[in-house]
Amino acid sequence: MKIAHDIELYRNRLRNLITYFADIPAFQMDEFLSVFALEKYSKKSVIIPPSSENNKLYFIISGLVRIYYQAEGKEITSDFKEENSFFTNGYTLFTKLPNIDYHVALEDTVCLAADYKSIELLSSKYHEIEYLGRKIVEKYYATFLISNYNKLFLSADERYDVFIRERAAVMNRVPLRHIASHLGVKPETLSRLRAKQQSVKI
Amino acid sequence: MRKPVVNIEEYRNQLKNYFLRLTPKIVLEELNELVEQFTVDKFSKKEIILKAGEHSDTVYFVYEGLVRIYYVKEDKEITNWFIKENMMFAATYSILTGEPNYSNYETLEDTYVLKVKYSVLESYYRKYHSLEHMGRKLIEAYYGAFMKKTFDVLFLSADERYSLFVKDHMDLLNRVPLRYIASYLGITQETLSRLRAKH
Repeated sequence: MKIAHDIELYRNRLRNLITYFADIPAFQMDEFLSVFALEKYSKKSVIIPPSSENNKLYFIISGLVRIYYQAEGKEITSDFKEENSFFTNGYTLFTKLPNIDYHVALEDTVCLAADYKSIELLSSKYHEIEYLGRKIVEKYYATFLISNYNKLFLSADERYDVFIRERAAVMNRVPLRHIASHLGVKPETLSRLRAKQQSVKI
Repeated sequence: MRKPVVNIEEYRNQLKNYFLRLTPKIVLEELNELVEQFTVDKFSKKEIILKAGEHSDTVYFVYEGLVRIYYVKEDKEITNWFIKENMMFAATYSILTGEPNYSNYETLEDTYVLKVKYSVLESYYRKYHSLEHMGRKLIEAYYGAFMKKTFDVLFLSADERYSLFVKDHMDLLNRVPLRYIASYLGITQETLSRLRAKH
């Protein structure tokens, strides 16, 4: 069945999220939202491959994206992005170096996407948009720092607890091997942690 | 602590140049106003500027000197960063998450800094558009540097990491005890000695 996509509805979703970050005058908000266009990715398609020239900011309307890299022949999942999240080729954007990681759709995924250049243009045109950009980068940097902290100082048990608490929406949609590599544990360890958690519930 | 004998204008000029390199289009009058908010501080060699477990909302710019950032895990000190002249540092984790910071910031030399509260910095970002832009570029640069470090550890060999360090921080080889450099590179001191002999 063909799904009718109502881009105005999607832009409203983005508008609602942005309202949490900044109070932006309506005409600036409209201009900001107008640079986002619809993009659809079928399950398993690669949205951003390594060494990509991709220079867009994505906002997920529906679906799920996995970010991973390959090290020593293994895939390591660094993050999952679900509905109402942003993702971007941040590594290249912020370091000007070729990115190493993949962004892949784990489900059929619908996004709004905008060229980073057009966002930069609006940022230099409007102070409030520039402020919004800083707040979003700060939020994502904080998330990165927290996940780095968790990797350094939490046990596998504790990392698992944090994941099921904060990423419950993702938990049942992702193959367990990806969650295991994200948590830095063996799939067997993850099974043991899950069993332990379930027995606690009973 | 003795009062530092400094020419604050010289300090502020160095900071201005740092910001201008980051974002050349910054409005000069606005930049002048911002750097006037920074004050000078001095730390002696081996002094702890910030301790793990503390909250901090101060942003520092090193005019002269050297700071080592490390955390302690299982009774071992792991060196994360070296901050030398013309670099900034802050307990970013604490500032952005509101949690106590987990690293220690210790001087390896007598260190002269300019410092300002992050809330003051932010109030100037809000006041002037060109400073807001600079603020975003600053955080993007630090985010990028942190990501790069994470990937370098994963994807580069000890040999490559050493070469990169020498390329970027040749001067630090003579300013930093080798055990800290080894820890920064994630290698043993023996491996570091072998690499030094080879290069």
